[in-house]
Amino acid sequence: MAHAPAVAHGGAHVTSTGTENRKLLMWIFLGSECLFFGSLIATYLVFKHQVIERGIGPFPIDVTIDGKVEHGIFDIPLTSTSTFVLLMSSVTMVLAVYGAHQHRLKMMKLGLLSTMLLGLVFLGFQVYEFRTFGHEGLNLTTNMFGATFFLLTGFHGTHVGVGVLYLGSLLAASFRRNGLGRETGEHVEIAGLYWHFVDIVWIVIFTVLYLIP
Amino acid sequence: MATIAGTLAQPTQSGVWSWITTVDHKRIGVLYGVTGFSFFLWGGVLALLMRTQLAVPNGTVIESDRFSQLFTMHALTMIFLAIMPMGAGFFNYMIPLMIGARDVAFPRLNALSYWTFLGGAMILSLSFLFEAPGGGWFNYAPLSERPYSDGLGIDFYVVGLLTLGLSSLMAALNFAVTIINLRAPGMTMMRMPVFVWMTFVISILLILALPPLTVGLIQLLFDRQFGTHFFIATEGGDPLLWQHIFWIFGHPEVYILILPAMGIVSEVLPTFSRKPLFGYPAIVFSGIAIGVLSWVVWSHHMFTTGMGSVPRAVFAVNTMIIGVPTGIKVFNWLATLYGGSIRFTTAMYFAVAFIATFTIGGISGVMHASPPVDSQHQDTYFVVAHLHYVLFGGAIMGIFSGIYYWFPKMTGRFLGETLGRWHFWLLFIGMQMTFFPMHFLGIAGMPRRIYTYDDGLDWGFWNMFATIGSYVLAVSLLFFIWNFFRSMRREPSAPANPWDAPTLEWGTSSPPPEHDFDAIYTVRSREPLWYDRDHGIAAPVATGEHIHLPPPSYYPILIAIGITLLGVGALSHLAISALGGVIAFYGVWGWALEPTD
Amino acid sequence: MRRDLTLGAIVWVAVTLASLAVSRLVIAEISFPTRGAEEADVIDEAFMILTYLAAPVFGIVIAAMVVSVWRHRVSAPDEDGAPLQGTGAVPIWWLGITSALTLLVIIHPGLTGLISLRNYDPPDLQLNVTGQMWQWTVEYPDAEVRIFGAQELVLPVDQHIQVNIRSLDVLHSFWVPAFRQKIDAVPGQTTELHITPDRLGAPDDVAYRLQCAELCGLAHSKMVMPVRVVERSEFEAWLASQRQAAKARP
Repeated sequence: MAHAPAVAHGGAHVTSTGTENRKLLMWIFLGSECLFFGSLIATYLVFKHQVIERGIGPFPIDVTIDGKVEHGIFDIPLTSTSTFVLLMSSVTMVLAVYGAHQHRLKMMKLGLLSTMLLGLVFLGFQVYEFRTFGHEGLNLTTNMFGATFFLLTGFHGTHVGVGVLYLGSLLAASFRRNGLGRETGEHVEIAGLYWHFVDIVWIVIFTVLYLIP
Repeated sequence: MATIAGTLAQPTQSGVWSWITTVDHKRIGVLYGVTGFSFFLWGGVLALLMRTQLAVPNGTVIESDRFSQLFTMHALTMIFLAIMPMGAGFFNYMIPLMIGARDVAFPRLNALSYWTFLGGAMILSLSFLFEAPGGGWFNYAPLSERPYSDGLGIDFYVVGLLTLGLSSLMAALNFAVTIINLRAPGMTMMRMPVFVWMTFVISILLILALPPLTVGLIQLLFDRQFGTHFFIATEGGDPLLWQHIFWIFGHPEVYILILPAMGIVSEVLPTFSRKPLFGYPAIVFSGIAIGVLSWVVWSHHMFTTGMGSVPRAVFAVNTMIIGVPTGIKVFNWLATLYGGSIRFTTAMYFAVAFIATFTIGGISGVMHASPPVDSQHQDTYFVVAHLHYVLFGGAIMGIFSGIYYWFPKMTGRFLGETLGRWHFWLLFIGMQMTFFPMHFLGIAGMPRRIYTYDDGLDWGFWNMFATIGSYVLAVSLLFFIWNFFRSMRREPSAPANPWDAPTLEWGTSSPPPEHDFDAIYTVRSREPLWYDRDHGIAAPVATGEHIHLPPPSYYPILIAIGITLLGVGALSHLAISALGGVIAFYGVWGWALEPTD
Repeated sequence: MRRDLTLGAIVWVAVTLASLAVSRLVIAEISFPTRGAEEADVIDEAFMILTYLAAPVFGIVIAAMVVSVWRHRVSAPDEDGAPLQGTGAVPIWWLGITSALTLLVIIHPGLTGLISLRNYDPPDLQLNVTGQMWQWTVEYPDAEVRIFGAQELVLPVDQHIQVNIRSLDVLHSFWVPAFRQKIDAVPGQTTELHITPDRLGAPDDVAYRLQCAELCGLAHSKMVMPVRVVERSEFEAWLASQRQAAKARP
C-alpha cells in the first residue's frame, strides 16, 4: 500500500496524491474553463460562414459582394503586437513563480508587477480594438460576427482583468508583515496556472479568429 | 466520544448562528438534504395541481399560461432544487466519512456552494410572485426570446440557473478534489465505495457540462438584454443552436441525476444481502462508461428537428450503446442479491424496487432512442412516462433508500419500519398508477405540455387514473413525514454500525462527532469494516493528539448574499447588482485574509 | 440451485407472457391511433418489435429478483451470504446477450427503419405548411391555392406527399398521429416530411388531426385542426372550389 499518510492532523499539505488541494482545484477548474471557451469558440465558428452568406458587414476578412470588395475589419499587425505583449506576460509570470519558490521576494514582486502591467497593456489594446470596430460600424447587434466576436473576446478580456486583480491582490498581500506566509510558492504558482491558461486561450483565439481565413 | 472532546479546537456549537457559519460537511449535508426535500414537496404540490387540471377533459382549474409555468417550475424544481441537492446532501455528509477523512478539501467553499444554491433557489422559486418562467425546462428558443416572452419569467430562469450552476460548479470542484486527495491510507481508487465513485463521475460531469449551459444562458441573456440575435433566425441567429448547447449540458445532467441513486443502491444491496457487491470493477467501469457516453448522445433529443439521416443514425447508435453498461449494472445488482442472506428493511425495499422501475425506464429509453419510434413518441406522454420512470422510479427511489439506510448514521435514530412499509407500498403503487398509464396516453397520441384536452380524444380514463395515483403518492409522503418526526422525537438509540455494513462511515459513532473519526482508519479491503471484523482487527484508537478543525466562518454566506443580490439586481435595478458586487468583493477579500489555522 | 432455476423459469415465463399480453392487448389493439399512411407500418413495427423484445428482458430481471428475495430472505441474519464473485459463464452470457440485443435493435428496427423512411421518389404532390402562433397556413403550390389560418387539412389518398414545413415565429411541430411521424417547424429553415396516406380519413377519427407538438406559447394546446383524407377526384374538386373562393374574395 504505497500510500501517502492521510490527513491525520487535518493538515492542508498531506494528500493522497501529493498534489496540494488548491493546485488540484485550479487544474480541474481550468478543465471546466476549457469547455467554457470551447463553447464560445464553437459558437463563433457556427456563424462564421453564415455571416458572409447573409452579406451584412462588417466582416472579419475581405469579402467580395456584388463585385465590390468589403475590407476585413481585423488589423492583424495590431493584434499580433498585443498577442506578443500577452505572451511576454507569461515570461514575467514564470519569473514571479520562480522568485516565489526561491524566496527571492523582490524578483517575485517585480514579476507580479510586470505581469500585471503587461496584462493591462493587453487590455488597453483590446479597448482600442473594440473602439475602432465600433467606429467602423461593428457592435453586438450588427451581425452574428459582432455578437460572437465581442462575446468571446469580451469574456477573454474579463478573464485577463480578473487575473490582473488576482495578481494585484497577491502583490498587495506580499507587502504585509508576513508576506504571503509559508505557502508563498504555492500561492503564486496557482495564480501562475491561471495566468498561463488565459494566455493559452488567447493563442487559440488568435489562431482561430484572426489567422485562419 | 467524550474522552477526546477536550482536544477539539472548538466546542460543539448550537443555535442558528452556528448553522449559518458552519463549515462542517455534516451540517452542510443536512442543510442540503432538508432544503432539497422541502423543494421536493413543493415540486410535488405543483405536480398535483397539474394532475388535478388534467384529471378530466376540458378541466377548468388552471389557465393555459399558469399551466405552462407549473410544468416549467415543476421540472426546474425537481431537477435543480430537489434531486440534485438531495444528492449533494448525501455527498456532503457521506463522502468524507466513506473515504475516512475529517472534512472535505475546502470546507468554506462547501458552505459557499450551499448558500449560493439557496440564493439561486430563492430567485427561481420566488418568480411565482412576479411571473414564473413558462417555456419548459429546456426553454426552447425563440419562444424564450424577447419578442415572444416579454415578461420577467425567462429572466428569472436565466439568472436562477446561472446562480445554481455556479453553486454546482463549486460543489463539484470541491468533491472532485476531496475524492482524489483526502482518502484514508490504503483507500485506493479501486477500494472506494461505489457511491464515492459515482459522486466522482458526477463531479467530473458537472465540471464539464455546466460551462456549455452557462454559455447558452449568457447568450440568451444577451439576446434579451443587449439586442444580440443568437437564437433569432430572422436576424441571422439559429434557434437550433440553443437546443444543441442545452442538450450538450442536458444529457450529462440526466446522468448527474441518476448516478447518485445507482451509487446508493450499490451500497444498500451488499449491506442487506450480507455479501460483497458482485463485480465491483464492472459496476465502476460501467458507471464511467455511462458518464463518457453521455457526451455523445445529446442530439437524440432533437431527432424531430429535421436532422439528416446520418447524424440521426449515429446518435441513435450511441444512445443504444448506453444500454450495455446499464445492463451490466442491473446484472451486478441482481447477482449481489442472489444467494445473499437478505434482510428486508425499508431501505432494501426501495433499493429492490429501484431495480425494477429503473429497468422499465431504461427499456422505454432504448425504445425512443430508435429514430422511427421517436418520430411518433417525441413530445408525447410516452416521454413523460419514460423520464418519470428514470427520475422518480430511479433517482427518487434511490434517494429514499439512502434516507432509510443512512438515517441512523445521520441522526442516531431509526426510522420506523412499519411506517416505512406504508410509505414504500403507497409510494410504489401510487408511482405505478401515476406514470404507467402515461405510456398508453403517449402511444394514443397525447402530447406533452397541453393544459387541457377534448372529451372526444378518449384520454379521460387514464388521465383520471394517473391523477388518483398522484394523490396516492402524495399520501405516501405524509407517512414519511410522520415517520420522520416520530423518530426525531425519540431518544437516539442507534449503535455505530446498526446494519453491520462494510463501509467506513459506519466505523464511527452515530451521529459522528464533529471531527468524524477519533482515529483515522487504515483501509485493507474494499469492505474495510467486514475485513477488520473477520480478521479480528480492532478499530483504531485515538492517540489523544490535537485534531484541527476549520473554524466557523460567516464569509461564505456573505459572498452568497452578494452573488444572489447580483442576480436580483439583474432582474430589477442595477444598483442592487452593484451592492451585491461590493458585498461579494468584500466577502472574498475577508475570506482570503481569514486565518484558517 | 435447481429449485431456484425452476422458480426463476416460472416467474420469467409468467412476467414475459403478461408483458406480451399488455403489449398486444392494451398497446397494439387499443392505444394505437388509427393507422393512416404507408410509412406508419415502419414505425408501428419498430415499436412493437422493441416492446416484444422488452418483455423477456424485463421478465428476467423480475425473475432474478423474485428468486433472490423469495429464496434467500432471512429475518435475523447470522451468517454472511456466500460471496459470489465475477467469474463464471453467467456474466459473459449476460454481456453477450445484452450486447447482441442492442446490436439487433440498432440494426433493426433502428437503422433499417431510418432507411425505409427515406423516400427518394418524386412526390406526387407538394404541400407547404407554415406554422405561426397559433394556426397553420396551408399551401398547395402546384394548384396555386393558399389558405391562411386553415380550419382543416385536406389531402388526397394514395399520393406521395412532400410536406415542406416552415415557421414564421417560434418552434412548432407538424404531427398527424395517424401518419405516425412528426417534424418540427423551425424558424429560418424548411423541414421535410414524406407521407403517403393510404386510407380515407373519417372526420370523426381523432387520429386524423394536425396537432402542434412543440410548446409554442399560450394557445399551444389548442393548435389543432382536423385532417381529411379524400379520394383523388374529391380532392381536385375541393381544390377548385378553394380557388373559386379565393377569387371571389376581394
